[in-house]
Amino acid sequence: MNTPSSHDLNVQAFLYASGELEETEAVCFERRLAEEQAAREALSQAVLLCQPLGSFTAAPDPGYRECVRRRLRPRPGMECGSGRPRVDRGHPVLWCLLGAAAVLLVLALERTSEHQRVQAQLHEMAQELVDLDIQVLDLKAEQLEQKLGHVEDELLETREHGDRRATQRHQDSPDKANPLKQ
Amino acid sequence: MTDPSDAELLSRFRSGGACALERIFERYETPLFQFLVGILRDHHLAEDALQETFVRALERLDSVDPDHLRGWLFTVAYHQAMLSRRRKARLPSVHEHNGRVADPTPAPWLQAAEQDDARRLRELLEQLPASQREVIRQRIYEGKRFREIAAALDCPLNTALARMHEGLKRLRLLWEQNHARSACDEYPIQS
Repeated sequence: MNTPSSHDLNVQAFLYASGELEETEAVCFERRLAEEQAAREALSQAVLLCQPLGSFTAAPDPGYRECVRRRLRPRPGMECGSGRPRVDRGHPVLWCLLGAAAVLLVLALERTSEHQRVQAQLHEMAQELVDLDIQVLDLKAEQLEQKLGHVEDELLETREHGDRRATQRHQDSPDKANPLKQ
Repeated sequence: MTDPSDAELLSRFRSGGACALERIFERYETPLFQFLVGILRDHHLAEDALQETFVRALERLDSVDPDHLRGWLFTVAYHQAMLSRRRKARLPSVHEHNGRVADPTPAPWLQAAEQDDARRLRELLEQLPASQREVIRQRIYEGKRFREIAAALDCPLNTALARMHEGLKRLRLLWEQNHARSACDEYPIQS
């Protein structure tokens, strides 16, 4: 159902198409035609209704289509009708896809280099730990050797002391030293 | 199969599809042409403006929203119509230029055809409701303006226009049915 404003628009269009609007009204309506799609549609409809029945004025001569096709046909290296050299930059979707692929590649590379950097750090840390372990082991071995040396020294000293006392005891009491003679 | 949307048609047209241009013509040439005739009131000028409209509108599609193709075509058509009207006002008419006036009398064969159409139209007019018939009769046969018809019938201008609108719609339908029937009578389908 038509709203009052659309009805007014249809009336205006009808009067404009039939040439019955006053000059100022016609100027106003043309101003609406410049801006409002509804006014343009209303005029198109009004013309259809105003034209004589059975006439062929409702449709243009189809020959114009060929002219349009010819004028729009792209010439080699030129854009349709503009006369400017055309640079084929490809479809925007292709560019979007290429852009997305580039971003993914950069991210992947960044992730790969990050991964490699972390791996290198871990490797370095592991190496440090191994070095540390070796140092600790060396230190422990050295300490053990020192202790062992002390123990051997003490053992040697104890043995010498034992030999000395045994010799001294033997010299002090030969009877005690040989109870079988008695 | 559904009609492709304007966006689909434009996409096909941009990728060089010749059929897409044909579909655009089919979809928009009639409303655009009627619109141009409404402004220019001249069949030939409207045809020229229509050609320019399609060329210019389709050359500058880069910034056009594909869903607003209809509005874009009408906008270009409006500007072309204004341009055409300004050119016409600047240039002297061909008749004046040649120093002679065209014979307004139509050719005899055209006169006969027009008379036949006029007879058919009068017959069809009788099938309309009286209120609608009266408005159309005064407008077509007496050449009255709508304001004069409204005054003569003692009704508001809007009412007179609405009756004309409805009456013409119905009359057009009857005319097309009648025309199709005549064509079938003249060229019967061979089985």
